[in-house]
Amino acid sequence: MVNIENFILDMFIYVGIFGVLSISLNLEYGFTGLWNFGKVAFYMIGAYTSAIITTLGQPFYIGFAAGVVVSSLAGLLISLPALRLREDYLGILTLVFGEIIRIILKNEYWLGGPLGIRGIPSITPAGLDYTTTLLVQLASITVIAAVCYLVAYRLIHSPFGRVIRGIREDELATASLGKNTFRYKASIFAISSAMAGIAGAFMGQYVTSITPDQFMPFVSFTVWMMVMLGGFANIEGAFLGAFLYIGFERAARIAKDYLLLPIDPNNLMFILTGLLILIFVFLRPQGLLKENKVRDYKGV
Amino acid sequence: MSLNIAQILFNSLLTGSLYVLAAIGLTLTYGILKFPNVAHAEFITFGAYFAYTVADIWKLGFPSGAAAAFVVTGILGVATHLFLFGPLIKKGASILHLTVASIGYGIVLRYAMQEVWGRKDLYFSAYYPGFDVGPLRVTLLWLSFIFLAVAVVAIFHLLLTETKIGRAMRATSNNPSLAQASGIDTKMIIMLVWFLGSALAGLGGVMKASDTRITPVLGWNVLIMSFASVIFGGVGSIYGTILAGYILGFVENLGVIVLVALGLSTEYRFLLGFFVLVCALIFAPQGIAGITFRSIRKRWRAVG
Amino acid sequence: MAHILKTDNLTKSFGGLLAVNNVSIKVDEGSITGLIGPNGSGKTTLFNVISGALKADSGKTYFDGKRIDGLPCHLIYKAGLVRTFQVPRLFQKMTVLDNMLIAARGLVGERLTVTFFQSWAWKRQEEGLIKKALAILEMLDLYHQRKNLAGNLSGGQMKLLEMGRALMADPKMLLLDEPAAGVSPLVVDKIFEKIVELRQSLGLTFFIIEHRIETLFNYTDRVIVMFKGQVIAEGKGKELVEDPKVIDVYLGEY
Repeated sequence: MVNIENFILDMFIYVGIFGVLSISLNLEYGFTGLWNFGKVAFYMIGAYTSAIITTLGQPFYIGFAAGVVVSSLAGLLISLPALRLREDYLGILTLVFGEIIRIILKNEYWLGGPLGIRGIPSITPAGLDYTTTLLVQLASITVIAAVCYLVAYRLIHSPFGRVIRGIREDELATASLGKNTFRYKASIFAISSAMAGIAGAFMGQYVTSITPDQFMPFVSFTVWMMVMLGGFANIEGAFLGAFLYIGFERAARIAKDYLLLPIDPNNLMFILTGLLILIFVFLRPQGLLKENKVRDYKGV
Repeated sequence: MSLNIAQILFNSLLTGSLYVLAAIGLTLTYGILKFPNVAHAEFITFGAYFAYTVADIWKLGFPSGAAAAFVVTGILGVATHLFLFGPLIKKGASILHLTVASIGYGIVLRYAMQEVWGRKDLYFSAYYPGFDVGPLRVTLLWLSFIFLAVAVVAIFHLLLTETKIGRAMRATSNNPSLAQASGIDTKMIIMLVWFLGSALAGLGGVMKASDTRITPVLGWNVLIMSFASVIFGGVGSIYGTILAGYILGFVENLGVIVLVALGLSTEYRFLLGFFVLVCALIFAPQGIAGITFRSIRKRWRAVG
Repeated sequence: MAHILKTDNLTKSFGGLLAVNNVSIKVDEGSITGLIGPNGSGKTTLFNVISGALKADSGKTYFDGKRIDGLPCHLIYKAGLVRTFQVPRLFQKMTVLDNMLIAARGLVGERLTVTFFQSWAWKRQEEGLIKKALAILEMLDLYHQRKNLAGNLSGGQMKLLEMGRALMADPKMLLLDEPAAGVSPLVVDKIFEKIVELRQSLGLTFFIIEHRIETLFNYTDRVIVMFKGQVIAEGKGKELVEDPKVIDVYLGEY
């Protein structure tokens, strides 16, 4: 039986990691209307970049910074074709991009190959007991998540946030009102890929070993699930969605220790996730929370 | 290493046939319903598993397995439309929500299959020894699959050009609302499209599995190239997709030789599909069908 | 009078169809010019080509003395040419006020550095813009809707809001694609009276697609008639009514 305290701390660390990923997807899809089914690619790039640099002996902040920079450059790169693409084509392109990155990492032995990278130095000093380690990790991801939230908050409650919503609603109309829509889309891709990058970098040092198979397309789909749960175009909802989904996953994990199931619990978990997606698409496609307003216009 | 051109061409025909089978259904549903059905990958996998059950568990033989997979996967496709996408479209779901639903549905299908057939690789017991035809190394299985795919292409061509249903299908896939306005029973056509498209995907799965093995990610691995064929060929265009499927088959087989020569992993052949996909998306977003159609029309105008 | 907008042999085809065929027009600065023609005569396509939504196959466009053909939409806006659409393209899930503010020129808050580090700067700028937007909304009888979502407006209100949004952009010239479509006849006159008023008070130039011939002849200085992608006549309302070509293709329908 696991220590319940540690179990909960670990769960909230993942809520933080996936909350950041959900904010990042929400900026892209919820606010700007960009379909990104390959969120995992940028998460993976951040994780690998930071892991490689820190295992070479560099301190964690250099690794994190590198993860952010490389991810955000990859985001810029993938946004170049997005200049001309239809939304659904962009979705397919990003989905495939994630798979390509994973296949490359799996086949390049100097990048770890199928076994990935092990022994990633953790940001917590050695010698702490496990609960304290988790507390330090939780504090760190809280800071990261808070910064990402603030960045997103500033973005969406500003004229910039108005323009990206405009692009989502009607790109031609936005361009006709003098906005260089490509610049906005590229900025959003770069910023949200940077967020996915830091989430990956943090995750890598937390679990201390990463393999390509941790970055299946399913990870991108769970982030979609979280965004849809919390509500599209709502940054608080991003955390709510991450909390609900991960809570559901953990509850199922505990339940399987007590229940005798006629079905493989791992399979059941995935099937339930798929069903949850379907239920939401049917019953509450817009998610739990309503869209964030640009401004309240108090006193107007 | 000497290049056996004939073998490359033959293998391209084989790979291309797989992509054609897998992509026809995808291009049709994408063209008519406007969303990329990600769960299509699972139809491919399902076909392989079902054929395995019929052929090797019920011991009815490989041909009946393939035939049963064709029919049952087709029925699965129709059921998918009846119970999932049809009601969603009726509710006015956006293209994004349909895509997300197809992802969720794909997850359900994949892990339900994993539950039924397990996670271990399965192999068809049917064995087809290779023999040489001139410079070619072939097996009866490969030959029959190429024959099958070519027959499917020919039947589709006849269906589309010679029958009323086929013309209605083409009209629906080109412009669903216009087709409906001109009195075509689009509902029936859409059902037919789901049946045929999924059935062919199932058959594609059998083909891929008979040559390699059956795994839960079988369909997923074919999906990237299928999407590449669909977009390269022009969404909704059957002829474009067929042409694109064979071109991609050729590119892949040629690419594998180049990769081996460069000392890179042959898994990178996916990169070629990706590369073709990106090029197609950027330079010919209407696909080959768009290009040829326009150029034909231009030429027509020059004549007239 | 100087020509603020001039096109030289503009041509645009779709497949085999010549939607705009060698169109050369001139619009006088400060004028209200009408564009009329039966359905499918290429009026909206001409607007799309001028405003940069579509690229011309050949021909040149000059606005305010500069060549603008081939420029992307946002640069044509920057030059001072702003358009509306036949079917209003509002930002449906945004409030009426947000729809107005997004169109404003020179917003400092669109720069990321300002967004992140100097939010006071854009907030101060926006105070003035909100006043301006509310004044325009008041003029268009939309003030009471300011905090509603644009998607909840009636068809006529959407048309008005789209014009308001274009005005918010401080244009030199407005391309209005059927500004009075779908509004009641009483409101039609009101809209056109507003247009005349705006021309006088702000010195704007208007180029307007309109189906109602009477309205157009009452309020415009000059009318251009298009048919099958070509300009077949232009002149003052009264003269046009007597032009046999116009009677043939257009007035003959009635």
